[in-house]
Amino acid sequence: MIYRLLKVELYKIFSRPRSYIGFVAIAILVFIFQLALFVDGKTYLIFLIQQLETNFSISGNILNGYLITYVILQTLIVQMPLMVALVTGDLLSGEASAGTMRLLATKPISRANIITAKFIAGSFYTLLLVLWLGGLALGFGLWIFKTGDLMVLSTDHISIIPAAECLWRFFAACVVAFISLSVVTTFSLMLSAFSDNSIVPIVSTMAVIIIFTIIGTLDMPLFNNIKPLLFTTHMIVWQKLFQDPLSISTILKSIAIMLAYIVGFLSVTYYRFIKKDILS
Amino acid sequence: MIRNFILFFLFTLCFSNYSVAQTSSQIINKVNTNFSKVNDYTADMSIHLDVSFIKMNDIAAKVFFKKPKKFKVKAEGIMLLPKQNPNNIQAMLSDTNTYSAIKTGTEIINGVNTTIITVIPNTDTADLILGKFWIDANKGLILKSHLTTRSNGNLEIEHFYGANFSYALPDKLIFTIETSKFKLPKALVVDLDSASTEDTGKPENKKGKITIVFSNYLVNKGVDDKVFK
Repeated sequence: MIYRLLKVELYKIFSRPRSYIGFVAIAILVFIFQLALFVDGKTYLIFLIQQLETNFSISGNILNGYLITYVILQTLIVQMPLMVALVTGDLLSGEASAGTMRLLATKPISRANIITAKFIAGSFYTLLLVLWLGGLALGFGLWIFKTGDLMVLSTDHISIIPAAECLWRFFAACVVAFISLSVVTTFSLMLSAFSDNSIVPIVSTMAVIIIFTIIGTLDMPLFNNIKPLLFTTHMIVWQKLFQDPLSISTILKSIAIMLAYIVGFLSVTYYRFIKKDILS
Repeated sequence: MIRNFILFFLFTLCFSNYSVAQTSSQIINKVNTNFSKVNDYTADMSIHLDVSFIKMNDIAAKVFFKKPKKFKVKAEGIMLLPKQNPNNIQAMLSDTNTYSAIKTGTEIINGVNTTIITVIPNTDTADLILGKFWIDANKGLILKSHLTTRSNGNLEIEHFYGANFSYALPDKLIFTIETSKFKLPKALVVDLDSASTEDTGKPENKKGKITIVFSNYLVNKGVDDKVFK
């Protein structure tokens, strides 16, 4: 039964034009980034490493496919929640606003199964978006800029990751990014269970993420105790996969916190939807 | 009496200056003679960086040299090397017309008596402002160098020799460099993850160490010119 429900949910997602906005936007942005870095990448890089060049002679293919992919992921993953929320925020509230929820609820299917199917379908969509971004960025990056060691520039240090270690780190980063975006998936699904209008959960999800991200980036002691509690703080943990030595405990801790958020948001969604009076 | 004393004083002064200059020249010539035996060489290099703001594994590279000044280091990936390569020092010392050398003392380095030779370039446009070399006068080997340069500030190099000491080719070099605090704007590197570090507003100077270990030297076996292109 759940398999059939899942097929229906996937059909619903992929029959809506808005579901493709994310894929098109990612493709355009990846193309723009690759083009810009192909034309002006060297100038940008010289500017970034000029401090380093005062002490060192630097050689090797720095502007390679792995660096391009890293820069793209770093820039675009921040924007990905919008693309995810655009689809997953509509999963329940869309049915309510279209008046199909009551029809669905009259079928001999448990409400828990409806939520489970919608959650799996939403997660599958999220996974495809992450793979689309990672695949496009890495595929075109390696094709155009070739391979090489990855120079990761942070505000106060530089890590150089050997080329042989880059692929598994990018794969792991995609897995962690998927878990991060699943927090957004379940959060927007939860808000969707509380609303009969699609716009509210989508906009609310984005508003919460923007507020949390801004709090997270503010260097003010007032917010230091709050930051570890915000899920957005842990959503950027994929970047730690590109540091040496790997901080496994920090990465696992953040993953555990994000999984706890996913379970928490899903639990609220199940509770709310099972108890809900479906009037439309 | 006074006239004789002044004459004796001047003679002693001139003689002493002459003997110091001679001594420093002889010592440098000995260093140059050792290195002049090298027409070309190749060697494997392992570079280890101990710089607070750089995190990277050791780099494996291959170095190629051919007289008079062809020098190339090749590595598979990204490579960071000190700006001053050791062959530059040898090349600079071999051109004895471009600098003045003065013997400025003696010191024991790693149990070896060394003579300190201070080198001052004759032109004020050279990148090197002052060079100080601790030289084992018996073997004609530089054991330590301290360079003050316009572009890179102060740089200290410790030289360790092994089987190829007769060519003045080191087995290990330890560079100690001055590094300023590395700082890039958050927005520029889209670094959402970094914790803030306290900024004192003053440029922070730290020391970094780069250790280069040489192995598998092939001296005077011929090196193809194509390597340097």
